[in-house]
Amino acid sequence: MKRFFAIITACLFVFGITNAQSVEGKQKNYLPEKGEWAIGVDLKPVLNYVGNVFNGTLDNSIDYLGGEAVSANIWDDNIAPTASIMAKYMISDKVALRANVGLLFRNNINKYNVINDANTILDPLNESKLIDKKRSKKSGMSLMLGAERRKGTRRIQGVFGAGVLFGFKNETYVYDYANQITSINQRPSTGMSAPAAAMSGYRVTKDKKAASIFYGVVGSAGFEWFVAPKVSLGAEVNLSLYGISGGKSYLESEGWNTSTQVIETRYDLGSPGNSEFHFGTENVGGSLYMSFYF
Amino acid sequence: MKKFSILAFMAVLAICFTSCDKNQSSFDIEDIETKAKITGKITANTGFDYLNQTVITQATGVTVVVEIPNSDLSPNSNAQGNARFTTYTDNNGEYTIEVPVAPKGANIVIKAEEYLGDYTTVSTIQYQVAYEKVVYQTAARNLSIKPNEIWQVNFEYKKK
Repeated sequence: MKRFFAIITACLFVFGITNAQSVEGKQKNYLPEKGEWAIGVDLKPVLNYVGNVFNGTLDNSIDYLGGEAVSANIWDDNIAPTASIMAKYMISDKVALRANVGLLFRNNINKYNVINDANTILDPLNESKLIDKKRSKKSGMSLMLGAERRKGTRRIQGVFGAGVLFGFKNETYVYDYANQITSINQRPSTGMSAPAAAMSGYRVTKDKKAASIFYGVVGSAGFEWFVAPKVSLGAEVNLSLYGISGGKSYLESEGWNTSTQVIETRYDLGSPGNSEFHFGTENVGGSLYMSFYF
Repeated sequence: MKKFSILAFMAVLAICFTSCDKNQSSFDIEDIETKAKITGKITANTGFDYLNQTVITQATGVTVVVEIPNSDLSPNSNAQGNARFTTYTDNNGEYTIEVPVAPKGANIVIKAEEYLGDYTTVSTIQYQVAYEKVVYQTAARNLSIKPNEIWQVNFEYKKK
């Protein structure tokens, strides 16, 4: 009987050890390891989509996986890239390099029909149209580069990081008019709307918005919960300190100068350039996100 | 040969991209093909002869100016200033000028410019002839003209 109980005890002991090792092994398979990469997506659009499934929202869709770019909420003209790519590289089991990149490059050409002013005099019955063009160029980028350290050996890890921020935005509108200015056609017809020129009777040919750059540092604190091997749900809060330097904006316009009897081009300065300073909590990339390690 | 082909292809591309944009329209005075003609004779009252009779002579080499408001030439009637056309009288004191007129017509001003010339005076007692330098002037005329019309406008200068 004693021998029976001893054998049972030994078996239980061996079983316990191997089970602990397999549990530990399973924990390790869940967690990221040195040399692995990770791509992260913001969960807020996903949660919004799931929520909208149950409330009858039309045109329900998932947009902007990847989270917000830095200072997206302070660029009122809404050209800051609103989607960003989160990426990590594990340089050890506990330390990773991380990056959050948002990009926006957009060139649009809008076309508008306009009457041919010459036909008004030369061929009134001719209804052919010309085309005015409005070209818009928008570009922006936000970049955060940093590192993070993980704490914890189980499937919930604390993640603490720091990094540097850099970004810029640029916006220009160019107006190409089909009807040219001449001595007898000083205010030609146009089919598109443009900002008002500084001089009466002139028309805007270029609207250069103030370009801005921002730079600073960010710290982060959060956690990741590995719901499956190499798949985690994460949440974090960022504390950012950065400054914004704004460039000048100006309007380029053209018109007929009745004094000199020539077409004149004017450059009128809009804004001399602003500067801002920000310190506070905000989210770079996904505040609630899912990461995939591979 | 291959290098030449590449250069030729690039030249063709450059021509395609740098040629005039046919989407643009530039409407200027030269584009108005309809005209009106104004002709006439200019004389001057240059004083008295020894018989104390008024002397009328041809005004040669005098500048004749026609001004047309740009708004009358403009397709949308919102241009400021005037278009100016000039001609000169010949040895007979005659002039002819053609001006562009839009189909809607134009309200023009035609005038002969002032000039400095000799004015003769004579004493009825001694029949002596004297000359003095004077400025000759004549009044401008306002006309409402249409394309293809021919107008006869004469001027007579008088001492200012």
